[in-house]
Amino acid sequence: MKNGILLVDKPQGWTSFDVLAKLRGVLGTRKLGHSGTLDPMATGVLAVFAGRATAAADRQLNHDKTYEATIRLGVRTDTGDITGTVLETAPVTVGQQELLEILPRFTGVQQQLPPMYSAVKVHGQPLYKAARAGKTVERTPREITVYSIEYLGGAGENEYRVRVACSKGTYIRVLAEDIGAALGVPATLSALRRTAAGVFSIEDAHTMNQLLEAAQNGGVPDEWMLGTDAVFAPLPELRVGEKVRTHLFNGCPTSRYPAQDGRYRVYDENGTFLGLAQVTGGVLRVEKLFCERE
Amino acid sequence: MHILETLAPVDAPQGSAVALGFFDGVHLGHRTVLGAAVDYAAEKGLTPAAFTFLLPPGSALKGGRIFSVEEKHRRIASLGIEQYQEAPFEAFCSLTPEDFVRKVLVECFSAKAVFCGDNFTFGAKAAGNVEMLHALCEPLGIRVCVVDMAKYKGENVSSTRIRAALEAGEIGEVNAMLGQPYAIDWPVTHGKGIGTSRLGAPTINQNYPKGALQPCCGVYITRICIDGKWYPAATGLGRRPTVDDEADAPITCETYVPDFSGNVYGTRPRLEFYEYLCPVRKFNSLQELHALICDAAEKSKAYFSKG
Repeated sequence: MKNGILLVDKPQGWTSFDVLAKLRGVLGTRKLGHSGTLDPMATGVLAVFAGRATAAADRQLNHDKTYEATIRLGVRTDTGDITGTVLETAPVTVGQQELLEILPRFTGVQQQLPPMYSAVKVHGQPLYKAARAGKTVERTPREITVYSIEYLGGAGENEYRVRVACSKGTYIRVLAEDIGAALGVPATLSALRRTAAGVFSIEDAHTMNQLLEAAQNGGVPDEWMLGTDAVFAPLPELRVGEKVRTHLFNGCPTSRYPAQDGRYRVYDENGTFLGLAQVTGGVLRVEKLFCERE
Repeated sequence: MHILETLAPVDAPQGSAVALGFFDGVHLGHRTVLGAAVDYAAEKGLTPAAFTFLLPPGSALKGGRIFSVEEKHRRIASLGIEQYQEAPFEAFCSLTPEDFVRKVLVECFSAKAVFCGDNFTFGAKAAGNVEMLHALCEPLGIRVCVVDMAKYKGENVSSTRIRAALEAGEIGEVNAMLGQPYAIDWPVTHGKGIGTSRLGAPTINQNYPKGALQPCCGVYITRICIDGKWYPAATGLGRRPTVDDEADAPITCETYVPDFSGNVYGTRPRLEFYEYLCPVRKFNSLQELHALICDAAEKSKAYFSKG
């Protein structure tokens, strides 16, 4: 059984859940989670949290994402991407020039309406359930931030590639449609690749083929599994002795602890990552352990 | 991206796909050339590389350089180039076109394919052109791919055209031709402290060094990246007639960041330009100047925070 984080380059056509289902066998653990669902059409980095590391998924400090997206002008679909049913087509009267002129305007904080085909819940029901039943539900816009948007070039007729760095919860499908709306033409997403998710980058991700091959040749190498502490890298490090370690495992506060107030990554004397802890007013308290007591 | 500042073999075990050019501005045309090399390398399992050069010390690029060396590197790296060689001009300027191909492309890069714009020249006195590159490379099994000039509003995109647009204050056109907002990252220097002491609007001073192209003087909507966070800002570029009415007063580049307060002296924050608001003019009082700065800052905040 493996603990830690495995970066997968999700293949096109797979759901993020398909990846987990396959990896249960490969990693020999049922305890798997991922952070940041990728649409089936999308490829790119999917961080899979295995074993004790699953609890780190929603404690990540950085949820920002970077995508390379291909926008197709002249078409709009029900799902917002090319896999959906076409709702509208229109002759394309604008080109690269107009797109280049409006792109900078999409930088910054903005309101985005979650798409009907999304897992966002309204009144406790995921929107896609209503969407599949052919219904439209009233949604409230959510605040997102586009940190940067960069033009990467033309990709084909009426298709353009952009790189977008954005906050958690940003739907690139909706951004593509919004860009189309600003240009006065329907638009949809024809390709999407996530190149970074939080601290994780596509360069460190493994393809499913690599993983399945490794599984057949004696299992996924240990060095492919990143330590849980990778997601907490910006926090200061704390090394604790045997006694404090026991306190942490017992959930018992350690008073008069000589460290500044704040949140810490805690390691034992051997350098094994134990988990997260907080110091307030000289008292050290465990926040979450990611290590077996043994 | 690995940066090599000498003419030496790069790390390309399977050979490389090399983009050739000076790439000042990393504009749409450059992006096409660099992007073609990166795509080809990915397809053929080669190393994506770029070859450019450093200007001889003391000589300036005609018209002034658009970006700092660091900003140029950042943009080229973000396009996926892994090996980047920036040799001193003297190291290869006397090479004949034949020697350039042999010494640079074959010996340093183990090039399997080269990519350049259709106006590319190389070798001593720019004797080599695209036809010559074809003639010299193809017998060696090096594929030559000449990329058409990128167009904007029906005309070719060039560094010269971008410089002209910058000098005209057409920042929207500049950003469109760059494919990404124009940005500077000059070190923050001490100003006269007037912003802090008398105006109530402290500014970050990032004056242009010699040899860098100064955009049109005026007030701009900008944003600045400090410690990894972007802040809306307003930047005044030019002389400061209200506080310094000497005829030979220095041109400064000052940025007011309404939502930030802290010490950034000596750092090199990135400042991106988005819109030209108005020219610099003389005000009768510091209060009027203060009102203009605040108004520009409000416009900037609105620009980066929509609806």
